[in-house]
Order: sequence, then structure tokens, then C-alpha cells
Amino acid sequence: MGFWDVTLKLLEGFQTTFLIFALTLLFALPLGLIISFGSMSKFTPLRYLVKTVVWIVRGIPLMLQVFIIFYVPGFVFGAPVASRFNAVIVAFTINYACYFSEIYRGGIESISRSQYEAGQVLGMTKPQVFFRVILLQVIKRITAPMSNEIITLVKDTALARVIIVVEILKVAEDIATTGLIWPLFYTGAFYLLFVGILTLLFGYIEKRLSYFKA
Amino acid sequence: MRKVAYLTLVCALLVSMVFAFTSCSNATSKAEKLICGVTKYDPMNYLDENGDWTGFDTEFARLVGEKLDMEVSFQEIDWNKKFIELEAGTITCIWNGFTANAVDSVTNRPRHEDVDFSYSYMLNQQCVVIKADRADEFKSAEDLLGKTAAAEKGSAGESFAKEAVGDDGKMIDSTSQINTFVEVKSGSVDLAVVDILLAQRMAASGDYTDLIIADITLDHEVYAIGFKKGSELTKKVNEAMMELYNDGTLETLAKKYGLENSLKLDTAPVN
Repeated sequence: MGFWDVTLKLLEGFQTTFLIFALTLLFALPLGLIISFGSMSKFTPLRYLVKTVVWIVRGIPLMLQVFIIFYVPGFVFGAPVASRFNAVIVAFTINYACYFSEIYRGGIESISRSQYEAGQVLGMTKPQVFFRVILLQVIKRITAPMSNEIITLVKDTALARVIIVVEILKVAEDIATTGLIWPLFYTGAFYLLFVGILTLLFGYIEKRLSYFKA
Repeated sequence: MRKVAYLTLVCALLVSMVFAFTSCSNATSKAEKLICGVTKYDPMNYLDENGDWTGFDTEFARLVGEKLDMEVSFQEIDWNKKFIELEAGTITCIWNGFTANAVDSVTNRPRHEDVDFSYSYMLNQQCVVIKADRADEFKSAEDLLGKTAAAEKGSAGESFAKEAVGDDGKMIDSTSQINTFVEVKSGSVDLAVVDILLAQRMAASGDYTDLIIADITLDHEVYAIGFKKGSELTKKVNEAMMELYNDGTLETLAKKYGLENSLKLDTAPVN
């Protein structure tokens, strides 16, 4: 297999990597916000419940969570999970939503009381204050820590192969079984390029949001 | 108001998760599905140039599926977790050049204690793969003592390798048999113990031209299909296998993959 064939094959695997990344973000970003509301709730039982869930999810290795989501339904309920890919998405979404929720919470709690009061004075309802006044300021403040997590997510996708979801690293390992070893290291270029693009994107977003400074 | 809103949100979230779960576990191992847990293992199960599964065990499984009117599919697994996959029902059998008369190195028990085996259908042997330029160092079984060996975690080869290198030797775990070739080639281990059918195909091909099979004989073993303990499938598959053997279909298939000398149906229970 030549350089070009290998690149094409790895690109095929990278599609799965990208899908895991994109779907996890798609589900975990809003889910994280809901969880952060839960962890800030004034209703004590709910707050403790959510905080316990976050503790468990952040306290267990992601790899183990993938195993739990994939194998436990079959063990306990006799209903084996049919799609390995779905199991990965569910596990990743729950895990990342919990991390995101803490970043959101930090961002939301950092907004000064006066912002809410100003909204109220203008006669806005609570949701209006949150979505029109608070949220944008939160987004601006959490861009840097979020970019950290999102870049970590790119590389965590490699964990999908523990239940044999064929992402780029698995493809490279499979190629190695035919006697070609260099593609395994070549995959690093794909991750680097993708993270590079994301880094530029986050830089751009931070720049666009910096008008508050003016 | 706000509490109610939060509660509704969280409930909605939980419900949607349950839905996500059930929707991905809809196909609850219907009886007519035969999901074979495999690893890429030339010539038993491997992918052809179109990316479709082929190989002796692959075609064998499809033939049995036809006889039993079952839908056969192949799911790549981590060999180390084969019993977990079987127990969880994410696969229905282990059909992958599965050595029956061996102690499993994951459970440290004879394999027949964890799965029900079909009739054994093929003879195999473990062999020692080394670098060609070190052939002189590996003449007999004693030369293996104290060496560093690589083997697939959970494979029959691992059990053999452990015994072969002895207490002074070192074992390196690999995730697949083929990864052990990389270890030998890179010099991180002295030798690898793998199935001979695989080694004959891999050694001296592709990047592995500098590897050879050492002239050291290890014990014989037999291949069989592993089912969940108490599965009704064992008997059904045995019957289908017997028919395919008696009408010569299996022999034709074995010839296609150059395995006719290894094909041997044995109805004696494996232990």
C-alpha cells in the first residue's frame, strides 16, 4: 500500500473519529447546561443528586464508562446493546456533559449580581435575563476552558476502539497487521491538523467576542 | 416555578436517555441471529479487498447459518474480552480459530469451564516466531527459558509462552496475535508464540521478511466453536457441522485455504 492508499484508508477511519467528536459535542453541549442548572438548583435533593452523578461520572475512567454502557445492559437486563457506535456516543456524551456542566457553572456564577438586577430593572423575565444578558457573557468567559475540553475530546475518541469501533487509530492498527507499521504514527498528523483547525477556530471566536473590552 | 422547570428538564433528560438506550438495544439477540465474535486472523477470518469478511471460519459459519436458517454476522472483538462479550450477549459465539484444549490466560481456567464447545474441527499448533538472524540461538525448547516473549493476551499462545520461558522469563502482552510480530521485529522481545497457521502466512511477508518460525515443536491443539454455557445452539451447530463434514463440503472449503491437512472433525468432548 502506497502513501496515498494509506491516507485514503485513514481518512475513512477519521470519518468515524469526526462523527464521534461532532455527535458528542452536539449532545453534550446542551446536556451540560441542563446539568449545570441542576447543580445550581435551590431545590436541595436535586442539587445533591446531580452533584453525585457528576462526581461518579468524573470519578470513573471514561474507558470504564464505555465498557459499562456497552456491556451492562446485556449482563443485567439480558438486552445486549446492538450498536457499538451508539454506546460510545452515549458514554462520551454523559462524560463530557458532566465536565462541561462544571465549566458552565463556573462561568454562570462568575457573572456579577448587578447584571441580573439591571435586567430586572428593565422589566425582563428571568429566562430573558439569562438568555439575553447573562449567556453571552458566560460564553465569552468559558471559551478558553471549553476549548481545552473540546481538544481533549478529539483525542479521547481514540478510546472508542476498546469496544472495536473502527476509528482512525484502529484502522492504523489494522494496517499494521498487514505488515505496514508507519501509518500508526502517521495518524498523529490527522489529530494535529484537526486540533490545529480547532485552535484557530477558538482563537477567532475569542477575538469576535472581545468587543466587550472596547 | 423555577424548581418545577428544572425538575421537568431533568426528567425529560432522563427519559430521553432511557429512550436512547432502548433504541440502541432494540435487536435483543433474536434466536435467528448468529453473531460470531472474531479477530482478524488469516486464514480463518480476515477482510478481502472489498472490506468483506472472508476466510475458512467465515465461510464455514455462513454454511452453518444457511443450514440452520440463521442470519450470520461477524463482529470484531477484543480477544481479551471474548467471554465478557459472550456473557453480555453482544456476540453469540466465538468462532475464530478458537483453541479448545487450552487454559485461558485471562481466567487461568481450562476454557471448557467458561464456554460450551462444539465438536472440534481442526488441528493447530503453536509456534515460536523469532528474528531470522537469531536463528542459531533458538534450537530447542530449553533455549526459550529466561527469554522475553510476546503473545496475544488471552490466547492459547500466551499459556504456551508462559510455560516456555519459565519463571525467569518475561511476558509482554499484545492486543492481537499480529501485534506480536511488531514486538519481535522492533526487538522489544526475543520471541513471540502464535498459531502456526497464522505464522506461516505472516512471517517472511510484507514488513516481516526478517522473521522466521523457529524449529521448536510445541504441543498440538484443536479448534472448536465456543458458545455460552447451556446454549441450545451447540447441539444444532454440531449437527450442521457433521452434515457439512460428511458430504465433503468442509473438505472442499479447507482445500480452498490450504488447510486440508489440518481438517479433522472430532466428536469427543474437549477437555
